[in-house]
Amino acid sequence: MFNSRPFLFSVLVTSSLWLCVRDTCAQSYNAICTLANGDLLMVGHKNDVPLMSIYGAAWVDQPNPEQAPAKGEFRAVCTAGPGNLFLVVEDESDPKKPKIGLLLRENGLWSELPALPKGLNSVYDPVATGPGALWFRSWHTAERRTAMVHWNGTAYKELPRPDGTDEMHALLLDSDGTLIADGNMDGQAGAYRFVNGAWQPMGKAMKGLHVDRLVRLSDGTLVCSVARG
Amino acid sequence: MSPAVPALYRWDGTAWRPLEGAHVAAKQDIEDLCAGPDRRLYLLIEAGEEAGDPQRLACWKDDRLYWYKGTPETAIQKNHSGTVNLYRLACDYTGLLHARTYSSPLTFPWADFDRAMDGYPQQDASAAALWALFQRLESEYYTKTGSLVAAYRNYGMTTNEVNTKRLSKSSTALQAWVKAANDSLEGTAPKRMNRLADRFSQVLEL
Repeated sequence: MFNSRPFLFSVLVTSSLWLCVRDTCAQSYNAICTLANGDLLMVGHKNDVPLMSIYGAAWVDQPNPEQAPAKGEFRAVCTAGPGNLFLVVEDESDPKKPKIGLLLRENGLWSELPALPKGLNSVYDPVATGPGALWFRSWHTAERRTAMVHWNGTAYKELPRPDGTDEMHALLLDSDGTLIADGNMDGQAGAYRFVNGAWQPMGKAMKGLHVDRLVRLSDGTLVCSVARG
Repeated sequence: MSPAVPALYRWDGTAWRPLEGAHVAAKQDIEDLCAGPDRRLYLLIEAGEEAGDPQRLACWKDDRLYWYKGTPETAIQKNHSGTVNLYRLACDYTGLLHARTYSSPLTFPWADFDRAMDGYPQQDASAAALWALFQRLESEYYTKTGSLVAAYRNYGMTTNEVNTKRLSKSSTALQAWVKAANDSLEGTAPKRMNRLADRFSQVLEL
């Protein structure tokens, strides 16, 4: 009777959690993602301690992985196949030098990814097809530009950016696993697919500053919102 | 009011096309969006013409926008106090819409949400009866589901005869309730079986 794998995942995760009395202390949520079983996972912090909660029939806080810092927060999250997760962690143990890192939950075990490439200290919009296939945006502070980064399971590699694009704002994995992102197109909002190591334009530019978000409707239709002047 | 210009586009395979019926005023920022069931798109919009103006929620469906009549602020103040800005919309697999304030997760009771939308086509008698039934069933659904999850948690921590029986009992009770609920829905409005019925049906698959 209880052979539904998604439900099992949900219940196994919630089996070790503790119910939290909410709203009695300082907490904030930074990001939300849909798990493979359809439940929602929200991440943030409570009293400066990283916090994640899962919504099945109610929001329930989860125990943190032992690799999570004692002080800090979870900044972002994405799934990496059923049961697997990437968590973006901000370690605020040294308030003068907060450090961004990544944790991976694979087959129920958490591990810490290597430090981000030099010059990068942020992770935005992580998307993944599996533990060895993660993409995210970062910002190169010294060079004032977006960095598009790929984690292949053993190392980070920075991808090129669409021609003329210094800042990128949106990422999405197509149903076939192809990376889709925004980029400058004739000075306006454009979108690109990353194919064979290069960005290929998707149609012509849209009026506006840039594509802000990419989402997929329930019937598979790709939709984007455009930031306007 | 500034003129409405496209802020949302759909990809048709070769080109980006403005999303039909989804125009919002040029100075209204779409702060967030998420996909919902039935090809819906939920939008969090800064509805005024100035930065910091109140936010509003809207739902794009069937090529038009339905505006949530209240502001997030009115919804939040039912159960929360303090901050009122919303961030990050998300739909769970049942179609329930969630967002977060700065400090709290917030769930929009979906039946209320749909009822509150301007112009949502649900004004006939069978629809009214259905919404009333849904509202009663929804709270029962959470109670029954919560019971099953609790039983499963105990079972996961200690697998013994007592917990196994409790789990089985909770499961049987939930499935029986789901079947009865579906019968009620069909009896009330057979042509209007929709998301809640889908949601109940998923429980049967456990």
